[in-house]
Amino acid sequence: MSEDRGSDYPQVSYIRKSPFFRGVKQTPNPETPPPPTEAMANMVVHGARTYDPLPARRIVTVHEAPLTYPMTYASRRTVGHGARPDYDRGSWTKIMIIHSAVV
Amino acid sequence: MVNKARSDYFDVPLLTWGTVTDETISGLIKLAARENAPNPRYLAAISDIGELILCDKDGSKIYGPVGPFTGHGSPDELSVNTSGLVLIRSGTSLALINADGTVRWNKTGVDAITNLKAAKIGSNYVCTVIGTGAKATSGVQWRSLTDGSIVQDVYGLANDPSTYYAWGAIAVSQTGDRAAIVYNTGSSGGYCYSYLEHHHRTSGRLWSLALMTQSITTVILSKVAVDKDGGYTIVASKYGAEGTSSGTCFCMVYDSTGLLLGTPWSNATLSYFGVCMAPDGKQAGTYRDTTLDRIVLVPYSSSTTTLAAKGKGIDITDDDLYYTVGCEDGKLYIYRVDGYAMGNTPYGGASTPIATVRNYT
Repeated sequence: MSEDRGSDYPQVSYIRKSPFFRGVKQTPNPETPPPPTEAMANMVVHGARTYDPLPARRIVTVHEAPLTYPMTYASRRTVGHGARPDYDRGSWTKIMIIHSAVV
Repeated sequence: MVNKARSDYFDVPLLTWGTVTDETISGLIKLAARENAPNPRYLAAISDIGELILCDKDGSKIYGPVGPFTGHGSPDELSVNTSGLVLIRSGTSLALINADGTVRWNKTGVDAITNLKAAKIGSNYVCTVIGTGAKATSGVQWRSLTDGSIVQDVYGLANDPSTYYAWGAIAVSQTGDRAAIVYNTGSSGGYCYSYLEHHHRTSGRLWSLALMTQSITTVILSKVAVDKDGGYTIVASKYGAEGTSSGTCFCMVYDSTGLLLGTPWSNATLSYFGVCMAPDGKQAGTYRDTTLDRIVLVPYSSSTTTLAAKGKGIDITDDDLYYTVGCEDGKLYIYRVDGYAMGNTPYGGASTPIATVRNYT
């Protein structure tokens, strides 16, 4: 909708994939917060043809989204072990059996 | 030679085995149980002279061996609920054991429950089966966990149960609100019938169906297992006591409405058999003498995978991979959901009942 009109400024998809924001590389570590951004009122992309200030501001706020994505429990394990999540889930597991033995 | 109650683990990524608890007990383990609930935690086992042990899902011992409790020197049924309460039935004696191994109540001797045929525990109720020989006064009786008093009396059976032929069995849902029972009618013209019924605490008898007509003049041994909702049901029955060879037998699987999903086996000659059901009701398992069968139930189907190992003990874990654990004389086996044999280990000794849970770390 309104996002499509401003095609001469970076699209949402481009922004989210870039590790840089205004020349500052965003940290991939979610423990470390990203550098402080400017006040919301100044967050207008210069030169953008904004027919309506609201969509532009909404797009700018995309910059504030964390550049690392929250990882699911399964994907985190996949990264750590290089195994398929379902089998990996088992890899943290012991099967316990109670039974009789004569020794 | 020393008898042990043992908790063994199988480490899935490492494919290794190990022992956590190894308790010397009197007698051989006769019954083993886990609770019928998602991600079950407790593993209980009782020996043929009534010594009880309870383990946590990491294999560590919670208590035991304790007992034998008065009147329970030869236990017939064992079950455990989500709170770690253990129910032991020995004939018409019934005992509830607290999670610390002490007796909460024990109905034995003059307090024994008249005409008690079978009993299992849920998280809210103890379900007992009463068989008087008359259908109106027989059925499932729900009892209080607190003192064993009757919470809901029998709704009645569809047919007069036999007072002579062995009573089948009961399996209950997680809460204990719903129960599946098997019973046999008296002989009529040389034949008797086995019935499967579902009973609900507030709804009464849900349905009843005849499993099989049998020309039987002695005991009929039945075993049954249900999922956590008391829905999907696997039932097996055979002519003659445990260990007696017979060619009259069957194993069938039903959904919660009594729809027959499949018949894993029937009319084979066998001496031992058993059934188990995963708490989510998607997979079931049976053993019979020399075969382990894994049965896929959902959706509305029954496909059987015959596994290589021999029988006399089976259980299925409650997870996506439905690890099937079985044993033969002296070896434990683990199978993955696709039937792949993950490994085996010798444990020493003869056949043993088993119960299985998974320990997520």
